[in-house]
Amino acid sequence: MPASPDSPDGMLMMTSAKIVVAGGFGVGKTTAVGAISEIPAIRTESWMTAAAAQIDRLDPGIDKVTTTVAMDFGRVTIDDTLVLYLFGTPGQPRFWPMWDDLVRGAVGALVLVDTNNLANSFAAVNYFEHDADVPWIVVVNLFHGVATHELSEVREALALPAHVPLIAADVRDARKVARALLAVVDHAAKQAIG
Amino acid sequence: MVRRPGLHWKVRPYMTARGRTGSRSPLLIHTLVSTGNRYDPLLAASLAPASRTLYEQARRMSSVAELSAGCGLPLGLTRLLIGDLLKTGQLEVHDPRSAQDLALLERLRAGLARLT
Repeated sequence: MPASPDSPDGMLMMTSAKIVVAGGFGVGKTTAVGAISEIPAIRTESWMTAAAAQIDRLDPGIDKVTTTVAMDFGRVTIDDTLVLYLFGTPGQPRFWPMWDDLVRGAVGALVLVDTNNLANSFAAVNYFEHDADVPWIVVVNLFHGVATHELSEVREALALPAHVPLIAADVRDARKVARALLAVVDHAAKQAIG
Repeated sequence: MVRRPGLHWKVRPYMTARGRTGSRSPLLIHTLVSTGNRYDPLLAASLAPASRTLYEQARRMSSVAELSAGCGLPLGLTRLLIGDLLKTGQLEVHDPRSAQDLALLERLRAGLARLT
């Protein structure tokens, strides 16, 4: 396919793609999105309705339980007619129903983990292993650029299947984030070919 | 309660949505939306405040998520109002490519490789 078919009104046909940046609370999702985004990472609010009892009631007069969920996103211009959006998942477990919406139509996902708090990302790993059908990889966030554990140890500790790529990156560095996103795309291409 | 520029703080989202809770066209959060070259200031003036804000914002092609953030509207309501404007042909949608499209993945590869 040529990259830029013109639409009838002469405007270039823009299109978009999405990669999800997931992981537990405080693993560096916002940092990763902000490092590579050409706009300041935007914080948007989404409303979620759930029957879950632990969610704050905004208005005691209403039975329906709602909460405001904040999520960060950024954008990267790939070429003249393609924009890549990055969406950071809300970290807290109570927001998981929203993940399905975030993940729908994504090229793939990147699950960030912090080796000093692996358990923090168990749930995200579990989500992509069992509840989502997008290609995903795991990225060990090298806080301060230092690896504290061998990747093989991390793979074992996360009980990560062999087919899921595992890499390490300092997500404060835009180029490292680009490399990690490239790994997601490569993995997605492999899966698309079958 | 957070103040939203596009929505009077006393107006709850379901009021603006006139009780509707679902949109017919499933808009993904990264779907691009714009007024194309059909922007009409008279039409803009006739729209309800939240829709007008959306319509104005969409003069510059934006994703659903960007419109939600830019207009200060919750995501669900943003989808609903965009859906209304699409139905009457006031906005156009630029559908995202299938995420499994190899040509798309190749373009992403090339673009990201330039950033590494």
